[in-house]
Amino acid sequence: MIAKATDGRGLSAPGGLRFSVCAAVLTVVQLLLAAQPSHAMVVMKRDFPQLVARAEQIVVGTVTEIGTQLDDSGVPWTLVTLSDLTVLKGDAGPNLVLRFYGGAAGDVVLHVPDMPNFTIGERDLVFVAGNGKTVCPFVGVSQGRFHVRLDPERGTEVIEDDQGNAVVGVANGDLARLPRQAQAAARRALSLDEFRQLIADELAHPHATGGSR
Amino acid sequence: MSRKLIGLSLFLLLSAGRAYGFACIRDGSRDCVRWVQGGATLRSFLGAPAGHLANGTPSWDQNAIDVAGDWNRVGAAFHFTVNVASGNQFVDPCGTGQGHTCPNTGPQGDNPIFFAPSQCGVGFGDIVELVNVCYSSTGAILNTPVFVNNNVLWNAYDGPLHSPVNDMRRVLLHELGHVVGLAHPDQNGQNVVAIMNSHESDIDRLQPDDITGILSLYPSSPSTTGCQLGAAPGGSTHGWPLLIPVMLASLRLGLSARALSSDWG
Repeated sequence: MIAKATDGRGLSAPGGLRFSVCAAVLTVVQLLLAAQPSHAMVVMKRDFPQLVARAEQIVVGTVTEIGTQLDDSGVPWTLVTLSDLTVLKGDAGPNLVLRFYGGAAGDVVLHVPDMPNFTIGERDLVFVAGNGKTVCPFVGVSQGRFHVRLDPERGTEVIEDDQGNAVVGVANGDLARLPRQAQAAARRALSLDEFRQLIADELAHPHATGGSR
Repeated sequence: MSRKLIGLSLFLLLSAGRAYGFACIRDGSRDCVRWVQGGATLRSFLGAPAGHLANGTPSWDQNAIDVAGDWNRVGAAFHFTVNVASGNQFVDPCGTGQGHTCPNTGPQGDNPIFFAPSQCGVGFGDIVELVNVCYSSTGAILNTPVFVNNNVLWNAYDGPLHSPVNDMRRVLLHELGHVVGLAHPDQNGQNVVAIMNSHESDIDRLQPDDITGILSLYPSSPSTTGCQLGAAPGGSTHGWPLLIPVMLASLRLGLSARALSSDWG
C-alpha cells in the first residue's frame, strides 16, 4: 500500500516533483540507515580542555537521591545527590548535591527540556560549575556529564558520554567518541582510570583552549 | 531509473525494521504532554538588529515567524500564531504566585520570546537559549516562555555552523519543537537525524523524524494515530502509519538533498 501510493504519485507527476518524491524517499531511507555525529545545540560547545579548566569541581559519584525543593521565592529545583565521591578537582564533602532548575511545584511542573536525566544507582563523572547559581550545574550542560558503566567483559568501569557514546580518547584537543551502536564501542571505551589520567594530565598541563570565554 | 530508485528505496525502507526515534516530553504518568487546544500563540519581542541578517531577513522576529511557519506547514493538527509585539506589551514571566501559571513562566497562555541576561536571575551558564515548559498534572501544556541569552553572539544564517556566532533560525526551530512538546531523541536512546537532537549540527531545517514527532503528538487525520506511537520509552519505534504524512510534509517543506547536504557531504 505504501509502495503503490508513492509510486503512483511519482509516475504521474512532472519531472521536478518526481525528483522531489525520489529525494524524499531517499531521505527517509538514509535516515533509517545513517548515524550522525553532532555538536552543541542551544549550548556553547566545550572541548575537553575547556571542560577541565572551567569546572570548579570534577567528581565521580553514585546517584543516591533525586528530589525537588522550592527555593525561597517558590521556584522548583531538582536536587540530585552524588555519594561515594572521588574528587578529581576542587573540594567536596562526603556528598555533592547538584541543583538543576525546574521540577514540580504543587500541581504544575516547570520543565526545562535540555536538562540531563538521572537514575538512582547510576555512576557519573561530572564537570561542575555554578552549582545552584546557573540553570544547569555542568560545564556545557550535557557535555560535562559522563556515565561510568561497568563493562562485564573487560571487568572494568568505562566512560560514555551523556548520549551513551563510548569515549575513546582525545583527538585534536577534544574527546573522541564511538557511537554506542558501533561494535567496537565497548571494547575501545576508555576505562575510568584512563579518563582520570587524561584529566590529571590536563590539570597539570592545561591546553590553550581552556581559557576564559 | 527513478522507478527503480524508488523501488530500491522502499525495499530498504521496509527491511529497515525500526522507523523513527522522536521523543516527547512526558509527564509523571509517562504520557506525552501537549497543547490540548492544538495551538499556541507566541509573542516575539526579539526585535531587529541594525542591518539585515545573514539569511536576508530583516529581523529576529521574522525568523520566529518563519520557523513557526515551518512547523505549521507540516500539516499536523497544531498551529502556531506568532505576533510581533512591542516592549510596552511585555509581561515579565519571572516571578511566582498569583498570575504565574508556573514559577517564572507568567500568565497562562502568554508565550513570549525575548532576549534576557539571565533565566529570571539564574545564570544561563553555557546555555544560549531555553524554553520553560509549564504543564499541569493532566499533561496539558499551559505556557512556554522562550528565553534568549543576550550575552552571546547571534545572527541568522543557513548551512554550516559558524561558531561562536549562533544561528537564531535553527535554534528557534529547535525550541519551538520543545514548545510543541517534543524532547531530544538522542537523549532517549535514539540515533536519528533531527533538528530536535540535543546537539546542534549543520542541520538547519526540519527532518522527517521531527515531522513524525509532531504528527504523532497532533495527528492530522484518524489514520495518523496519536501518542500510542510514542509509547515505547523515549519515543516511537512503530512509525509506519505516519510514513505517508511525513513524506507529504517533507514535500511541502521542500525537504531535499540540499537540506541534508552538509551532513551527507
